[in-house]
Amino acid sequence: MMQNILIVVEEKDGSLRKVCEEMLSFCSQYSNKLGFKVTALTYGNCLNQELFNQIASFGVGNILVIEDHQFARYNPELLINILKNIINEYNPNLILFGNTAVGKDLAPRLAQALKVQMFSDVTKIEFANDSIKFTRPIYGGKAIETDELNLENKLVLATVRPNNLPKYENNPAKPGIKKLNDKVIDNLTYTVKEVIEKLKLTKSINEAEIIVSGGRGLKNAENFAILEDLANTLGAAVGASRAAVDAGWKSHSVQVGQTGKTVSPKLYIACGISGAIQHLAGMSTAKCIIAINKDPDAPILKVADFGIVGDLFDIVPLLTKAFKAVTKG
Amino acid sequence: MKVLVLVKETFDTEVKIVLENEIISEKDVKYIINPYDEFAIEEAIKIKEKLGGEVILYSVGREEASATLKTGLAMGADQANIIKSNVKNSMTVSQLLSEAINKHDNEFDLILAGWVSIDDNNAQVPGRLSQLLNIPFVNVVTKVDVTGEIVLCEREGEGCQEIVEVRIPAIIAVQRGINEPRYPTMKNIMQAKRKNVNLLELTAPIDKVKVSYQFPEQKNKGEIIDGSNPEQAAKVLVDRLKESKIL
Ligand SMILES: Cc1cc2nc3c(=O)[nH]c(=O)nc-3n(C[C@H](O)[C@H](O)[C@H](O)COP(=O)(O)OP(=O)(O)OC[C@H]3O[C@@H](n4cnc5c(N)ncnc54)[C@H](O)[C@@H]3O)c2cc1C
Repeated sequence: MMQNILIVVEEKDGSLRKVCEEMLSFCSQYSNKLGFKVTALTYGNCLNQELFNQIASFGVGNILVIEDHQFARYNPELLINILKNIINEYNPNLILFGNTAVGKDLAPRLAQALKVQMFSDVTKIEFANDSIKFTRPIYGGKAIETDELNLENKLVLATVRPNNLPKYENNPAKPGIKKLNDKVIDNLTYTVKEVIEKLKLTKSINEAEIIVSGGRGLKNAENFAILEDLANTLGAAVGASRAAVDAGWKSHSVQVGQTGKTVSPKLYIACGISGAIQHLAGMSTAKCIIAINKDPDAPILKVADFGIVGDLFDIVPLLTKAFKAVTKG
Repeated sequence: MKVLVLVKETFDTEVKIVLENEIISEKDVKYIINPYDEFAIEEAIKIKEKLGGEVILYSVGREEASATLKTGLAMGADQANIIKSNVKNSMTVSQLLSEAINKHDNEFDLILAGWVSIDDNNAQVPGRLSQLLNIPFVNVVTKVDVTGEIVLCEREGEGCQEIVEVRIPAIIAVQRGINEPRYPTMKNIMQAKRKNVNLLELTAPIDKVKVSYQFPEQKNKGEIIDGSNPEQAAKVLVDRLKESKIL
């Protein structure tokens, strides 16, 4: 039986990460139905009440807080030690992380430190009487893996892909905060020397709800401006194919595909991208795909929900105009 | 420097997945080295070229993987060890690797690996292995610099680049962008034929996860909008998005 879920919550600029909202909302919904307890864990160097209120608004009132000046920089070694202690004390059956840069790094280390199974980048979680089932896309979305594990009072870890767990209307809970005073170790073998912030100007594609992506069809870096215009109108992030990244038009951090990022936005607009299998691997789980391509035989049009066969240089600016008219009206 | 590289054989990216009774068929499949592991091999060889030493590949998988691993040997690795096993579970794979490394190469300086494998997308083995071997681990690394005992890494953090320092022995999992893997020459390929691929036999612990495979749900066929009148096409698309409540 599932009795106790621990969600490791991440914040960004004082707000909850979107995938964390999704995990909280989902678990909170099922906790009432199935009678298990959900606890959120937050850590940081200066956490605020606003964040705790946000967590509680999804129906999760039990909030564990660890604050330490050392958390100003992410250090996995520091966190593993603290998490291990907390887990021994709270005995969860399931620990959830967002499949974020932090979750991807931390969860496998923690899983091995606790000698338990872990499932990466899951898109679906199902609770049964005495077992738990995870669904995760593999082979770049060409197949789905289903993992079922008997709980037997054991613990299991998972990282959750953003934009996949359904969000519910939860009844807000009253935040009940417990500050933990675990000793933070200081003889670390992993030292963060420097953190170089990337320019905040570019919106990250990881959790974006809408992504406008460009490929070789854009012809040069300057032409990406027309995609930026469309993206700004839609509040979207800009992505790119490998051809565009290899040509130096966009940075590798926005490459979508097998050797780039895997994204699951609500809307993915592919402009001048042929839809090679390695590109599809990174975006085939998008809820809605729009492709703009002048070649009627381009493979991207086979997976698109809506495809426009035509010249992107004509169509994209007009699309921006049409969307502007909608958002205004 | 003794550098070990974790290498996984994966399906070629063009392979069409075939399911038989909810199991992925391996019949007639063309294999490649996981592209991220290729970056790790290249980086290991660069370290060897700079500091001397040897590069040993470690793989858990089919006996026939030796043919795939030859590419790594042709790139410049000195030998390869295959732990013969059909286990897929990351925890089990990590345990096998840790056991084999402790037995055969426990005086290593560095372990390099790709941060993720393009087939199962698990991204767990390097992190798990670091715990099993009790050594520091830097993940998603785009630059490595080894000076004496010190390994300076640049890694992709959340919206930032982090400079992380660890000491050897350590595990480094690499990200695309760290280098461009070399193409072996004909001469390299001939030389690789004489390099050793050793088969290691170890008993894998049993895991209790029930795994099955399915195909993703088929989407309804999309609608193609004629773009010869761009203005009209843009309008039709926006209308469709409104109708289907995507906007
Ligand atoms: C191991 C491996 C890993 C890879 N990983 C990735 C990855 O992560 N991500 C990735 O994207 N690729 C990846 N690739 C590369 C992939 O195979 C393709 O080469 C790449 O995706 C092609 O990019 P593209 O669609 O932008 O370019 P092209 O394939 O050249 O397509 C350009 C498209 O633009 C269209 N076009 C041109 N001009 C216009 C116009 N004016 N208006 C409208 N349409 C126009 C053309 O009709 C064409 O369809 C990988 C390949 C390998 C072997």
